[in-house]
Amino acid sequence: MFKQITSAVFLAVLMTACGGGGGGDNAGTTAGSNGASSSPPVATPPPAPPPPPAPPAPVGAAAIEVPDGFDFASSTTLPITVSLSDVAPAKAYLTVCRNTPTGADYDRCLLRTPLSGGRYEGEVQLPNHVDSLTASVWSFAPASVVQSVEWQRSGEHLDALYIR
Amino acid sequence: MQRYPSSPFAGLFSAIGRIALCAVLLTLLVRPASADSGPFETCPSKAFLIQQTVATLYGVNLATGYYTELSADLGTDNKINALAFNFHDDYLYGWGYEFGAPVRIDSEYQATPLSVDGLPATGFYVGDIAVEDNTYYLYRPGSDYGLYAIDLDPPAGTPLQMVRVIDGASLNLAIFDMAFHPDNGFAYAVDRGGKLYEIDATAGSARLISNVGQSGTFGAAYFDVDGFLYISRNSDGFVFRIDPSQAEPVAEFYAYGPSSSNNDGARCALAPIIDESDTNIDFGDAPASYGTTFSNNGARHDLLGSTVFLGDSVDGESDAFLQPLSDDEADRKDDEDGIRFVTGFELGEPAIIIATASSDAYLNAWIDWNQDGSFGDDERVIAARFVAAGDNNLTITTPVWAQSGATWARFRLSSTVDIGPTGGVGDGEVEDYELRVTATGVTETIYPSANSFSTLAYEDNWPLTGDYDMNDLVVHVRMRELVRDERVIGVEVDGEIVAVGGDYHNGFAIRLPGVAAGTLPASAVQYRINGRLQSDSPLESTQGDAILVVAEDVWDYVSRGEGCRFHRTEAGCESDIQMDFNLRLQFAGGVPRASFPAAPYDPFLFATPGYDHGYLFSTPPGRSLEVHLPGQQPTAAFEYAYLGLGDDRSDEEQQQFFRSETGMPWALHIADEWKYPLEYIDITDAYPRFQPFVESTGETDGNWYVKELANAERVFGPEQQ
Repeated sequence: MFKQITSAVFLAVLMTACGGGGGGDNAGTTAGSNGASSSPPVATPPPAPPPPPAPPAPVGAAAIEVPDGFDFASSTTLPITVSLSDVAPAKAYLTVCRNTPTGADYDRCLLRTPLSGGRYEGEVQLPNHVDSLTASVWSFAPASVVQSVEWQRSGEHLDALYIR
Repeated sequence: MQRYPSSPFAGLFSAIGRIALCAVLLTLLVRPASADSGPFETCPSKAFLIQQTVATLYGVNLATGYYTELSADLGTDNKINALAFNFHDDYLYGWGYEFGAPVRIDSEYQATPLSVDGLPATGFYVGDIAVEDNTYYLYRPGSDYGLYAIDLDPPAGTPLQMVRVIDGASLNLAIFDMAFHPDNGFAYAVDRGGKLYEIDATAGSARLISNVGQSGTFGAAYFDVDGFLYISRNSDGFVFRIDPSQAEPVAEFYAYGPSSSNNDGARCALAPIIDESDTNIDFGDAPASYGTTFSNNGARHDLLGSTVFLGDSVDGESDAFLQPLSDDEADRKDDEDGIRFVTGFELGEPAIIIATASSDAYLNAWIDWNQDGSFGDDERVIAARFVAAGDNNLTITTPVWAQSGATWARFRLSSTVDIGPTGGVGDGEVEDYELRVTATGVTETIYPSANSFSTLAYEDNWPLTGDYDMNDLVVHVRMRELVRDERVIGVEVDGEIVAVGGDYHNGFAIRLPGVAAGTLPASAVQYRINGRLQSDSPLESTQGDAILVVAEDVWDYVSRGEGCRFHRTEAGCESDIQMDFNLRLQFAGGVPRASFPAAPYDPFLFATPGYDHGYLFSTPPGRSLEVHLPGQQPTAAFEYAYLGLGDDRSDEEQQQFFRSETGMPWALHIADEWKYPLEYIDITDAYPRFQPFVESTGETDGNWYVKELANAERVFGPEQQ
């Protein structure tokens, strides 16, 4: 008997911890509605809920004290400024792309835009792990790069990407 | 094409059994000039083509036109014509000009003249062997000649006899080859003016069926088991396909084959045109209407011996994998890598692409500008353009009459200069791409970048803390925004359900904070799951912020692997991703860019209505239970009374929701294709740099999530130990 009780408690802890709950594939006996108005206004104590297990001493992620307001962001905003009115042809196009070891990877661009009078101001969301980008200004006839700038992450600080 | 052993003894011994079974009498009648190496493999799918003034035999794949020389020494110093494959004994037959008599060609490609009585003093270049009665028919126009028959299976002791069926004045046809239908008993031929004839060889009569619309000397004719007639034009090698069962048959261009002034072909009419096991052909993957599958004469390139391809590689298939499958989805090997689209396609404006060729070759390309599901003549955007090995910058101008929106493009690289959007070619590669045409002046931003994803990872046990393996629901997303005149005019979200590591039934949705649902009428939203357009709108309501429900219950779209409790979270459970999705939103008039939310917007998990969600909820909470990323608020459907339950310590006043006592969230957004922890593995075990990242408020270890910093044994994926 003791062994059975121990096993049951262990199983309850395991299922709670893994997010499995007890629902499985079974639909509830009372179907919830698709909106707040008819949802239960607040969770009421269940008829006979199993007591929650005593919390163990926190380890792993549960032990992390998160600084107030930290948003866990894994990307930042990188301003992009192009000012090439003297250099760019009447029709020009800007690409901002990630790099391969051999140069710009035009299959993985973050920004593609025509230039207006050789100018553009905007921004991209830059993933933290992307350490370099290539910004290229293209002319159409012939199809070629007029000017290209490689941006490198400097330390842990981002600034902006300029082509002037 | 299977070659038999070169040893004459081995070939002789292997042949004896078959000859004894199939053609005993015939063998006895053949002049024993040399050892017979036996018949060919039973009814091969490849065609035979014989050319040159000293006969040279080729093997041809009619599906692509790819051909290889089988032998330039057939044991004769003159030409052979009127080639025929005999289904009854699996030998080739022809008219040997050196011998002035029919010849039989064995599997070692050696021609042996037949002893036949009644031979006329002339040569023949039209001939085939009937499928039904083992009779070799030969034809030459002119009143002195005509249609002849040789019964190749005469009664025992009777010599082969060549008998004239009808004279060439009564049956006067300007034809250069004929082929017997696999099952209706008639032979068919196309004359130099394009007239298709049905020939009753037994009666010596012919019936004009139609003009097939192509003229020239069609020196080779073949049938396949499905009753399609293939004719090859000497002057350019073009292979055309004809369906004689149609009321008015026409010749459809089929493949680019070898050209020759002296040309005759034969194949086993009872064989399919290609073996199903033949995976040495590259197909496209655009929708079928563009001519993609083999059955609709799709664009295809033979890979045997080919060194011409786009990008870094090409792989073959036995048939096309149509969008949304594509062969890359099927084998997870991306060989559609030869064209890079540098700029967008804007109405009336030039666009730049980079085409990468493996070697010097020719590029032809089409874009379906009017979105009618086919590539028209006026939609050919690159015509027979020489490209050098390596990268080639090319310009394509979008016509002003093009339709805005998504459409398909086809690029074909080959050593053949001038090819169309469908049909077979003997080398090279076809790559199909879906692209988007926009108005002018459109800025496109893609997060995290084109051809990559960011990851959303959820714990679904809220308001109780879970095990922090962050894999109860894992979703990849990519957001593409189109901006014009500082207003967002369109958004496209691509994503896939990567993992489901919990038993609870959860839905997944994306809210656009600050974007009113009223700006998105149902007609402005297209939603596809696994490439298929959904008839039900994903829009949740017309009130408040726009909310798009990707799945009401992700378990409806994914399954547990065999022996697995969850979907892609346990070792040994590396099944394929089973659900991808695509949302396309158009904002008429646009939304000011300054007020548009930043990617990835507000993606959230919610409890599927009707299912239990833990002991804290006496009834299924359904849509009133949500889990959002840090910094996001619940939607109007959320039940705020749940805040503070269990381990939740949301601070409504500070607008901090879904946080534990220590500030840990129940959801993370990671700007990469994240290798998430295995089931039950705490994120700090899988990613040791996560804790210092958090505790430093992100000042250090900003890239804590890259796979190089993962504990490889603790994350899901084929590389785990």
